[in-house]
Amino acid sequence: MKKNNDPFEGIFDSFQDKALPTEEQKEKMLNYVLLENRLQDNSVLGKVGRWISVYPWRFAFSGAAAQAVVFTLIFGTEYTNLVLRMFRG
Amino acid sequence: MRMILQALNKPVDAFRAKNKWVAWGLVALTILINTVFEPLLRAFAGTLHQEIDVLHMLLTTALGVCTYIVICGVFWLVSKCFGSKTSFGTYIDTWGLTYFPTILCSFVVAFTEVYFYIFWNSVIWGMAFNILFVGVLLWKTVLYVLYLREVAGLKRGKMIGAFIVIGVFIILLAMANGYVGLKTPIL
Repeated sequence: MKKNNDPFEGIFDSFQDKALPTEEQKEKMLNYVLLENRLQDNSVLGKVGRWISVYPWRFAFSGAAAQAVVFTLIFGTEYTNLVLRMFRG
Repeated sequence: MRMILQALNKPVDAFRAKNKWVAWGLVALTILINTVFEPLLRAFAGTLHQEIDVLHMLLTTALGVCTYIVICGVFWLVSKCFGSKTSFGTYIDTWGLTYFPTILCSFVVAFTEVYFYIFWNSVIWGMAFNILFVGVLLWKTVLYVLYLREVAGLKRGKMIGAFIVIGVFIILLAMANGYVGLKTPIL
């Protein structure tokens, strides 16, 4: 039988044991993951909110395009000039 | 590059990552487009016969920086009143991440200011700018709400309260900015 004479080997082994999470820490991590999952709002409103918060420009410019088409059809250049005047200062 | 794309596409993650260099870079770019690029474009376009005034450029740049600090101060103060625990430094490091729409706006405003005669009374250009300006406004509003929720950490009623109070300050600051010659408010 080979005897373990190297004192460093023992030290490194104990380091490795220290690096592994304990049962208590594992429990904490599991709780955290479960909580995160429960916090995620899966109602329609929550989903719409997430759709807006990822790629916010997608929502902004599609909304803007829709209102521009509708109001320009109704009011013509009067509306576009009004908006230009407002933002152009 | 990854951090810039994150600020563009996933603002909530960007607010959490708090990359202050991206934030400050975006603010600096907005201010410079407003205070240096616009007067240069105006001078080179030559339609309005304006000289390049370096002193005025420096002054407006300084005022732009002041505006950023003031708006962060307003965020800090109002959110604190509504029960947020976020520090002033965090606002300084993160509010700049919402400056993509502001950069776009200042760039477009510079062109519409100088070449207004092309765009006036034209349905196509009018529509295009309409979509751009209203889109920018919506985009910034979305970022504003996400910011109050993520960075200031306010929920529901408190968030709506802070939204309205800070909104009033934003309008006041925008008017003050317009008064001193910053056509796109540094907000």
